[in-house]
Amino acid sequence: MNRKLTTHRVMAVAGVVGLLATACGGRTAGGPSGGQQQAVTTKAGTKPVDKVVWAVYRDVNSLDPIFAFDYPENTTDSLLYESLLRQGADGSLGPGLATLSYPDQSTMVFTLKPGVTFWDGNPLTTDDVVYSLNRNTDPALAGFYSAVFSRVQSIAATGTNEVTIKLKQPDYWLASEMGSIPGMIIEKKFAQAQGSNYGTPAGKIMGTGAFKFESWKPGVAVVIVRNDSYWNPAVKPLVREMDIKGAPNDASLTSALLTGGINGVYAQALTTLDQLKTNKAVTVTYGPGWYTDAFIVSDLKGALGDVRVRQALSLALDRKGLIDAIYKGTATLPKWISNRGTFGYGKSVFEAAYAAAPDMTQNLAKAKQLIIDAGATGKSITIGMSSELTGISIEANALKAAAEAIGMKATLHSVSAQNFINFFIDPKARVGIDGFFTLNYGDYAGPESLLATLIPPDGSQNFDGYGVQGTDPQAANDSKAFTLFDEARSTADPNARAQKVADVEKMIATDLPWIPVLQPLIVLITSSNLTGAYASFAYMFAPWADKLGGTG
Amino acid sequence: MNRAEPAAGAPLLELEGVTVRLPVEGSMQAVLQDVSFAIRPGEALGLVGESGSGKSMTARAIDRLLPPGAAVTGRVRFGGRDVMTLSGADLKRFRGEVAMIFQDPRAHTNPVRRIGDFMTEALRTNARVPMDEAARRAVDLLASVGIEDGDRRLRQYPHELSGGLLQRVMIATALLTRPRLLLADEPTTALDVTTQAEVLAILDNLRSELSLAMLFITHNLELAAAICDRTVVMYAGQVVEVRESNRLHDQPLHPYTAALAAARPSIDATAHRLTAIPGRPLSAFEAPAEACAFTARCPYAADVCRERRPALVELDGGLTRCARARELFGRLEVELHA
Amino acid sequence: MGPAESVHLRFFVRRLAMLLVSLLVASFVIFAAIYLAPGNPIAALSGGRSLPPDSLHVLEARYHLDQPFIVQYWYWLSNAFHGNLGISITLRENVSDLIASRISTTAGLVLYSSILIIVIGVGLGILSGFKRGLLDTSTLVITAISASLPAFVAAIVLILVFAVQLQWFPSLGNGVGFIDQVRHLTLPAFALAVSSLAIVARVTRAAIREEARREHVQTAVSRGIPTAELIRRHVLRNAAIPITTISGITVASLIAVAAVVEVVFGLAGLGAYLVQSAQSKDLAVVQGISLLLVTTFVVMNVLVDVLYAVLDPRVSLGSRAQ
Ligand SMILES: Nc1ncnc2c1ncn2[C@@H]1O[C@H](COP(=O)(O)OP(=O)(O)OP(=O)(O)O)[C@@H](O)[C@H]1O
Ligand SMILES: [Mg+2]
Repeated sequence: MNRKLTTHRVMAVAGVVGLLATACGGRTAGGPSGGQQQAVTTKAGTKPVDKVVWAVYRDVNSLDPIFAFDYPENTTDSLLYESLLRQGADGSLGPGLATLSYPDQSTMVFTLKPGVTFWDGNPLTTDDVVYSLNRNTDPALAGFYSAVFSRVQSIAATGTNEVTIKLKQPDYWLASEMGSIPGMIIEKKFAQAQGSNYGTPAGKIMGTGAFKFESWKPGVAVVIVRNDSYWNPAVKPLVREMDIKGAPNDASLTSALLTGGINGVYAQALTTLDQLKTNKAVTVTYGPGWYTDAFIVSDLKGALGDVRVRQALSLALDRKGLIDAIYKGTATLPKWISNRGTFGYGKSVFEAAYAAAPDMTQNLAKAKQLIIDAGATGKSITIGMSSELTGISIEANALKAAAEAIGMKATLHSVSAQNFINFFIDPKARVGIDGFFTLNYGDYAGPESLLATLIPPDGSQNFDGYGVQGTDPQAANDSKAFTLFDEARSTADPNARAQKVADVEKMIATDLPWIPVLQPLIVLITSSNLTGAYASFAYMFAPWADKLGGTG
Repeated sequence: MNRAEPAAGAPLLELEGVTVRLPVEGSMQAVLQDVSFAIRPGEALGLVGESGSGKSMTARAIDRLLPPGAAVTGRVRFGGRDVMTLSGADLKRFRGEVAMIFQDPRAHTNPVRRIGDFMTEALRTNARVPMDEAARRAVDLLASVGIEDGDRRLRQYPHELSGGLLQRVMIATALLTRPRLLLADEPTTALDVTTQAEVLAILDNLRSELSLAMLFITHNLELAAAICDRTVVMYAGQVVEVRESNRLHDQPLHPYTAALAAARPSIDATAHRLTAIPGRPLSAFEAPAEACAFTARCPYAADVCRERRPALVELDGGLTRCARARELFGRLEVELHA
Repeated sequence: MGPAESVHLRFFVRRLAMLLVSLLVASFVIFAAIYLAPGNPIAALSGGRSLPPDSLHVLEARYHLDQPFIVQYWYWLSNAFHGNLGISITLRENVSDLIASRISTTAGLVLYSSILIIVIGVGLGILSGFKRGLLDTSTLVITAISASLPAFVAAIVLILVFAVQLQWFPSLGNGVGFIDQVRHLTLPAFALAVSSLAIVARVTRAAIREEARREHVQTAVSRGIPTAELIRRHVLRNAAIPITTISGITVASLIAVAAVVEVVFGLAGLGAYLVQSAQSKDLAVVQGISLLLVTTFVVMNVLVDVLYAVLDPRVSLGSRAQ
């Protein structure tokens, strides 16, 4: 693959569009329009910058990629470590530290790029790769990505610069995962010397990225600096030092952004966005998100077991109101569970299918009829929520209003902000609850990455037993989605695979095991003299600050 | 008792028509009305009157300790100098020469300072006497008020001393700057009876020894008579009688004095002092401007008493503020005692 | 000397025993409270996404989270007795190290605030105590408002004015190097100090007024003690007793309020860390910080008692607590 060329072309296009986005979106008070495709990066920086303070929503907890499962860790790790393959800002998968070939459907061969070195100058070896990948599945480490490797038979060095993964079954999801956090490579010798301190504040780390670890003071910042001996001479970050820092709350974040105490952030549902949009001190850029805000149906034995009730609720929901209330307009109306931003491969296939999909617009008359048809009038649902979480609370109330508008009853079951997570992890917390809201995303740009958690019977977020006999009254029908989904996983051709996934999306947009609510955009806020950061969700998985620098 | 003879020549302290007004609920009210008397060097002058009659206010006016906002007219002279206009070093010297002993020794000593510090403070700060010299003098004086273990006492705090002991300390302290005039405002009222007698004896002895002048304030006519050469009787902020102490009881000039005498508060009956005079004592500002202040309670009140405020007139070697003084002279004591 | 010394010894022994009992009770209560709050410290690592159940189980077993409450507490307690405060689940590091790295921020903040409270609060109180008029009236009005001002409101106002508008001070983070750290701590310290400062100023003013009215001050006046000496030796010295008490209590309470300020200003202090750890149910950290705060609070109180006894000869050690 001619990665260099592709990247340059992408960057050139992105540069122009990025400029437009900055000119239009960044300065005008109105929100971004949902229909148009957003730029995936901002215009490359041109001037060196000595230091940038980048905010994440809370302090970083770990610098070990096997524990990177949330925004702060992902944002940081994607600058320090590199994965075997790499997702571009647009989600396209290309070579990373290695190139990938498939000698057969069950064999993946990664050929390491020559000349790759860690920060300490040691060359990248197959040992490092095998070690790093195996760490994911080491039960003693209890990393968060073991499920990704469920079809892996073995991982072994098969040459001086070759690592081969043998699969039990064809798995075309795995390649994308190798372009994400689970494919990140650390130095074996170094990690072994660090032992259990690796990635903790007490220990040190070793990666290959264009930024290297400098220091970490918990509660203060993770400080990373430009790696001046980066193995790829074509990449020279303009920023010398980057401090990655947890911003405690919207108010502090906002004042720090305005005063230069913080120079950049990928913001989410920021309550002060309107204020920042109109302030000259910062530039606000919108880009494609890869995430989805949805109502998770967690119990199919109650009123929501009837697909018509789920459809009715979906039809009755005031999604536009929620986009304005929670995201100040910086989110789009969904058609599918997966965000349009995740179309990283088979783009034309996905886009065509997506264009053909119906809009999820409000239609109360149709919704009421569905409830009558289902005989669900007067039936009640219980919504798990936390009144301490503003967005969740607004959504829950909107769903309650929707239910009541179509002749159902709805109860809000509120828990504390900290306990909201229990709906996801504690089956006992879900007892008596019909569903709850989530902002969810997968590991890479591919709709299947999120679907994989909710469609398979053993999916980590398949809380309602969707498609499972015994928990899903319509299991016979619903299990078709999983069958097709599983087929897609083994389909080699990207477009054919995309078609299958698109078909699954279509099915579950009707079945609604989750009811998609809205799909947030990336809201990138930087000091107005900074530019060059990714404007897409790829910042969670790929080096997003290589071009970050001063405007000029 | 050994009493210093009145010295010839100029008085040591002289009050001339002293009127003091204080802000009470927004307006200025008189608490002292035209108070005049004098104390000769070495003389003990008693100041007697019911509660609220203005005794303490008189002492405060002399020592310039009036509450903030007080307006004073009239004149106070000490050693021939106008006290009201003193300032700086003169004021400091004046305060060294006039010492005050208060009724409640506990309230009038700083609880967080040691006795030694308390006693020698004025000497050290004003007279620049070195600490050890000041302490030596303090121990000497403590001995002369009957406190033998002075060294130890100097290290103690006020709360470690009994009331009587503390008042003796106060007396010793007052004498430490070698004053010429002692203002003793009910120095024994707060003490129990036996202690009272002891403290009084000490005070009296020392005073005579050092030939100090003293203004001795008390409710107790007999006590005043026992200690003082002359006694001033006050009522409602006014001086109503000034008389040789030894004649005060037997031959009062003013019906109020006679009433006080009849109430017969003895040294050991402080608890029911002066309850015998019927009626309520008046404050100075309640006193009628055009009548004798005592009319309301006076068994001899006549029309003449209500016509105007009587002037202080001489009679039988004393002064009295009674319109019928002459007429009643000699009858007061007899009738009240009947 | 003998009896006094043994009284003092008894006081300190009693206080030490009280401290140990407080620590034991507090540790149990806090442990129980955190335990009972449903939730899962490991899940907090994922920020809302579902973690793979396998990793969840391994980690739960590693941190004994699968054990009954009393067993978990016993693990913690027996380790704590050996000076091992445990491991933070969130950061996978020793709690004592994590706490140690944040003590200086909180200590600096509280110290800075205390200095402000004592210098400005007591200073203002003394000035308005002695001088009636405009200064006094404005002090009264301002302190009445700011005494009831919550620290986080003060913080937001200070940030708006001095960070966003005037840009005099930074609004976030700790800073590096002494000067920069002081700069970073300035707004937090003021935010933390504001209401206490007002209270201390008012108490000081009242104490000054009260002490100035005392009869023994009259004694000193009658003895011709110069005004400056009079104020110093008889008014300030005596007013120092209530002022010290209120200042001591106030400063001790700052430790608790500091959390709010640390959170708003993004300071890496113990308070913010306590809040954060409680939210993520990082038990060992919550325990460690709580016990440190309890200890500090008790020690501060002992200090106030000692100071009180030193300042007021009528008071013997420990009588305030009785
Ligand atoms: N600070 C003050 N402001 C206004 N009025 C006062 C003040 N202090 C005393 N007075 C009034 O002045 C009058 C004289 O008070 P003073 O203390 O001189 O009485 P006294 O003769 O010493 O009485 P006692 O025997 O109770 O000590 C009283 O009516 C009292 O109410
Ligand atoms: Mg009096």
